[in-house]
Amino acid sequence: MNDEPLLRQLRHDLDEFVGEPGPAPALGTIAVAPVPSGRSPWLVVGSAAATVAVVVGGLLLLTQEDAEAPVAVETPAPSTVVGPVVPSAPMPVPPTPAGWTVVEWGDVRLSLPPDLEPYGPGCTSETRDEYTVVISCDNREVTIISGTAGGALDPDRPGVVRNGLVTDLVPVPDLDGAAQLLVDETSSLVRFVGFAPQAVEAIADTVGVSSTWRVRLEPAPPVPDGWQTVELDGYSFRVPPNWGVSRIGATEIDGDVCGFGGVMESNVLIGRGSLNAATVNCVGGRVLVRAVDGVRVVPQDDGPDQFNNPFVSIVVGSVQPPQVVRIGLAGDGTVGRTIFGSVIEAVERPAVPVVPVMTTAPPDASAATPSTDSEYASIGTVIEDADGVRLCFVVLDSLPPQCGAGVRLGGFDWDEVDGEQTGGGADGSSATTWLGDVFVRGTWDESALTLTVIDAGVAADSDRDLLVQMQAATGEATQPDYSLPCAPPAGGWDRPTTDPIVSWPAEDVAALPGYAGSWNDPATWVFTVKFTGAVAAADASVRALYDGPVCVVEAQYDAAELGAIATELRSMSSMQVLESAIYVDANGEWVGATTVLPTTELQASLDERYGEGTVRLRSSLTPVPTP
Amino acid sequence: MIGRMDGPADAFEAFYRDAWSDAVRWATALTGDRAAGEDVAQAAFGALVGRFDRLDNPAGYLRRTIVNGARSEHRSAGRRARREGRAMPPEPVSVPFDHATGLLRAVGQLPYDQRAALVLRYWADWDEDAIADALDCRRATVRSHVKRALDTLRTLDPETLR
Repeated sequence: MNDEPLLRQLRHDLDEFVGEPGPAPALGTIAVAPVPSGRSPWLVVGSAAATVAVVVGGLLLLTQEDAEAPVAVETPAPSTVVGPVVPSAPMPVPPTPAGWTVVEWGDVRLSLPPDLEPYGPGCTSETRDEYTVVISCDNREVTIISGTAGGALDPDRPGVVRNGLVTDLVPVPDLDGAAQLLVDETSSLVRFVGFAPQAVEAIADTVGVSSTWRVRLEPAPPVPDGWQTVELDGYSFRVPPNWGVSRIGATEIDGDVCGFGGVMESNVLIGRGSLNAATVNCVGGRVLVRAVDGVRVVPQDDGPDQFNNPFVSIVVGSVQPPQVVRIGLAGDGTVGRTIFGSVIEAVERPAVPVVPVMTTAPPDASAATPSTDSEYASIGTVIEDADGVRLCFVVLDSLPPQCGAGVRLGGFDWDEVDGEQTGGGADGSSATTWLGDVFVRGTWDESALTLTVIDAGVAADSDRDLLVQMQAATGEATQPDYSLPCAPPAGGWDRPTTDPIVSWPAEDVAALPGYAGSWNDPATWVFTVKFTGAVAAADASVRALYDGPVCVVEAQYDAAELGAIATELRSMSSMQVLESAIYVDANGEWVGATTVLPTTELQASLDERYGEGTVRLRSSLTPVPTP
Repeated sequence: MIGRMDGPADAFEAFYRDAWSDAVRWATALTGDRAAGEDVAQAAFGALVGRFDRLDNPAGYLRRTIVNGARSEHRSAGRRARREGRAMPPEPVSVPFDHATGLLRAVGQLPYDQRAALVLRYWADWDEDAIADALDCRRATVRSHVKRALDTLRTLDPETLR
């Protein structure tokens, strides 16, 4: 597709529109004065800081310097004020009547009476957009619009202070009986439709700022001993030791689902309980709690996990600027109710990306770790573009195609193959030549990260067979062991009374707590099922569902945890997983993952993180056995 | 206490004078509004001034802050629209590009990340790494944003782009 005319017009039109800005306004100085009294939270600088103010182009800027008394600055409207904020005291938490539900949405906190329970009978909650949630019960409706500047108070009306916030409750124009609560500090608005006035007053009296709003402004409390570190895009977070962590790549999620700027490139789900990509369905579902500025708390719809632990998914991303944040964890299985002090600590983004915790290598790492002059073979797409010639194992679907993951090729000669295509280059960049399904054998130069071609050609079936043989010879083709791990009972295994293929309740068994996986032994028709936790209880549960012969054994990882590991592997920046699969067999539970060139260090790191053998790396370059 | 503080260090001032024009141009193109662009640029320098000495890459920080600031402005446009509509379901948020060509108005209606990737790549001549850093995403995502943006623009009647 030739977009050059379009791009040329874009450049022209933007040049015309933007024009040439004038010279930079002069930098100046202004006076600063102590805080008198009253509120102005975004201007109050804590007792450990003084303020240096400079004027840039008429804009007031604040920066922190040495210890001094609190100061505030008169801002010439309508200037914008930016600068660090360090509050001197925690923000107040408003009261919640017994039995009411706390809902936090963006920067708003509100308590709702039991008959307005958002997940209760006759009620729905709907995310309208990135700012708005509508909770409807029967004929009543509460709409929370967070941070929309809808809360701007009428300067001619006196505000009412509720829980430390300046608010105003006013009728909704053109909507009989409806009222809306304006919250000045957070520029938020809560609209009530179908309520008696006293009910509106009662709810309005519970208004406050959300926990995330509060904690953004507070110093981080100390992190308890033993908490684990989660790293994401250079941020480092601490979470309780028993929380699972799952990473979700943006490419796995429909960008339209999440709203709020779409799906962030990197998401990390932190929580206890089922962890899988579906939970990132963050905003499309019923979200009652949402933090601001890239930190979002997403509730799990289906309540506590199988161990009756409260579940909370916390999606963290793009926290700008890097700051200390603290997120509450719901105490009763539903996020958005009682918030108490679990801690997440975000530290300054380092200049160099953090070396990930995880890394990996093949099962027999010593055999497969690339070394100089070792011979390797593989099949992939050869792409030559401005970055050189590469053998690519992931090809981005574009025209011309782009190499998503691959290795550099030395000595590749296009004359040795037929059928290559060339495209691109119309915009002045170099053209791209490519050909899919090419078998390449070569020597690996680790220092140059280059595969120097010994022979290459369009892959034939015999080449594929050869690769399989080589993988088997080097121990790479680890096959799962689906033997029967239980000894036969006295008298031998019973034969099933019904056709096991039809009667095996696979879905019901998989839904049991702690389920890891199952398989069938074709010789005896015994189903082996693996569970984490109490095997005896699981055994009874399976037998209640199925009256044929079963063998129930203990697993170290359940299916959800294995899925979370696979997901985490796919989103690791230290390696690119080309494919992965989950195996539950007689020897354990593990995730097989193929990467371009795994190393022993990578495998060792994964062994340390997940337990030895839990993640087994395979290389997309297959070592050629020495004759 | 009334105090009077000196201006910023020479290094910041030099950087500020050197980078001002580009910053305003980028922010104007991203916000579709000259005044907003200038505001965003000012705010970005404001964020920079206090940490300038501690930054290894102040230019990168400035770029990131511009892109984030313009994103906030993009949301503000939505806020204004919603405020006027009083909690009505939102329309797609676009930025103004008032009195601009049809093409720029179409660009102004693209999702922010797509608009930013397209404008920064093909007009501001940022490389993909710089854009990925500013948008806090991967290079492949930048390419994807650009591709989607172009896919959208290609569907438009060329006559409407003038």
